[in-house]
Amino acid sequence: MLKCQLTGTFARSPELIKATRDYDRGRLKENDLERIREGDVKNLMNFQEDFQYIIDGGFLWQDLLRPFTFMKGIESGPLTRFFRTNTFYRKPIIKGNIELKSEFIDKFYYLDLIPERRKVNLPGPVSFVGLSEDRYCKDTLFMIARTLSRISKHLEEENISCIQFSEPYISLIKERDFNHWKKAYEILTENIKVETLIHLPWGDFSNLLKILEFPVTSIGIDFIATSLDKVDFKTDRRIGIGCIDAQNSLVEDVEDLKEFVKNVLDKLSPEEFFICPNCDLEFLPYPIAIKKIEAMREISDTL
Amino acid sequence: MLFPTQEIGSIARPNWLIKKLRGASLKNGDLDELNHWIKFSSFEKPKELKDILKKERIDEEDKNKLRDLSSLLVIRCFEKVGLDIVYDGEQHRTEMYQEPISNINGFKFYGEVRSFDNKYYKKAACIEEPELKNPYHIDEFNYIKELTDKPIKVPLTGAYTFTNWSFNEYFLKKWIGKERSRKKAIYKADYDLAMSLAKNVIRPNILALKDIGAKLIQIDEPAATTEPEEIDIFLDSYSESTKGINGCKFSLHICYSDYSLLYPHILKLENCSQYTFEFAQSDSYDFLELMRKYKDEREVGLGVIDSHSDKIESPELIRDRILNATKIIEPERIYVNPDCGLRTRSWRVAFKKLENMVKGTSLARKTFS
Repeated sequence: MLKCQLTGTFARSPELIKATRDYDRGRLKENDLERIREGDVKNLMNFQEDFQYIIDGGFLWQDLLRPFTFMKGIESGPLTRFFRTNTFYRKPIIKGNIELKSEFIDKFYYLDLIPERRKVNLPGPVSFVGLSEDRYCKDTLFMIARTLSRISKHLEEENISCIQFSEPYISLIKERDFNHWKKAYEILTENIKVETLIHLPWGDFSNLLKILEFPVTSIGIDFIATSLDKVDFKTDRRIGIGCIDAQNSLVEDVEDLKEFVKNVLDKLSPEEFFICPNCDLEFLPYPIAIKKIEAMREISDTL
Repeated sequence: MLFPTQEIGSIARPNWLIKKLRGASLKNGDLDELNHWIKFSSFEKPKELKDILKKERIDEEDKNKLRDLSSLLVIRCFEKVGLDIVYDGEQHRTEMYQEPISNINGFKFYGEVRSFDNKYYKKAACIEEPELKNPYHIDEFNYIKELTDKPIKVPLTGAYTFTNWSFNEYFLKKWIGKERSRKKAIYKADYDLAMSLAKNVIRPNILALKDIGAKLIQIDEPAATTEPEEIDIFLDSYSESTKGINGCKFSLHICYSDYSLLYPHILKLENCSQYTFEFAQSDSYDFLELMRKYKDEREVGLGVIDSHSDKIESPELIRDRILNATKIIEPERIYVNPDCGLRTRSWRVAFKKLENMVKGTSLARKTFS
């Protein structure tokens, strides 16, 4: 099995982009759109055939937080720039105590199409709150952690092998309250037995070393934003080496990447590791995103 | 006059224009809508426009004529609602990235990337040193300047936004290997690309516009604060684009961004008379407070209309937004505009918003008379 994982939302194919556009303009029926979307999921599964875990590409997610704006207690807010991208998300407005049935999340995944090694992506609690407008202002972080915990438990029962919590927002916070965040993760993962992964896109990990103490199985590090010279740690966590640049179309030179991964392994000696993109490949055009997967496979093959 | 009113950039291209350019047939509703705006604006060329729309097939000349007539119609609507400074709602342009990039050698389009939801844009990669093919707003400006007696302000996408919205292969290849850290290599590559675009593309465009009479130029830099570590690249490339160019008044448009990242660096920006920013959606004047704190005496184009909402702001709300701003900076330094271009709104919504913006501005002026 290749030590490779994708991280979350994948680039839509030109056919799917056209189909969603046609659907919005009333030129395509929902069934036809669904058929094309499922085609994208199946193609992506094929590309991940020998990967550690398989994701569905997040083709039903309009952004990292959109599904949660349908929960009672949260409303959909204004379009807001998603970090260092030219992509926008709807900012959730947290207005009250969240009420939900965890099963609601099922309709945002293609779990039925993935028979095994299922990996799903959820927003991490810190980013969930940070990317939202908090009008609830009580113990919002812990409330979100409890909500995500219930959803994670439900996903675990759906035979998910790995739950990833994306935490892009952590990199932007200057005054980092690691103890508070750690407590949120304790709430979040307390009853979860499957692999849990914090992914830290855009985060310089040299500022985030305390996350190594969080109760998760794995940590995905953005090695585009993190200089290897600046980090040195020992950990029993599985480390995701985010060395595939999902924000540049220049496909990595495989020899350079091999050398880089080797340097990471020499310096940090993680007990377990995997190769992944630094952030979601949805920020690349589809043909380039596919080439990046091929580069990942090539490196992993030789390690 | 206090509080001159102005547009920011784009107005939606009307259905009759989009469909006809695409070769699709028009529906009665499209023509009803057109008739509404002809009447609203006292448009002077309805027959010419309708004669082209009646044709079953149109050629390139007809297409260009349609774009020109749509441009004229938007200007007349702007005049009708009473804007003081106008352009043409960018009726000759499809958007602010793909079209200009197509006029620059050294870029290649690989495919589409999500803007939001199911909206995508074509994103290009810089694969060679950028070089301007031809100044790309000249024909448009030459046409528009003959249509109105009002001051006109031409919008132009800035060098940093092109850099941030493109993949940078050419310069990154140069720096990988020289820099051990990929992060540093990306920074240096982005600096080189932005400065190259400023020197070789934006500045020649500005000089060409100046030569044909442009006096007000708005540089659009929505990506300015996207990468906090790259703020100086935005500032240096802006200054490189405009430095030493006399006889033009430059404004800087940024929207939906964390403006707090701009200070104190923005004080060194050369040749910028006005910040034309979004304030209505974020419902915050923190940036104005920062201007006061840093004694920044530039003008402000105050965004008083939410460009992403169909809710029509009342004249009283707009008046209050202006008056609240005058508590922080002097009224003489305030211009009034929407947060951003109104292209995501229907004409009915967009022009009603603008009409109320003008009415609200009149109410604010009365307070000071």
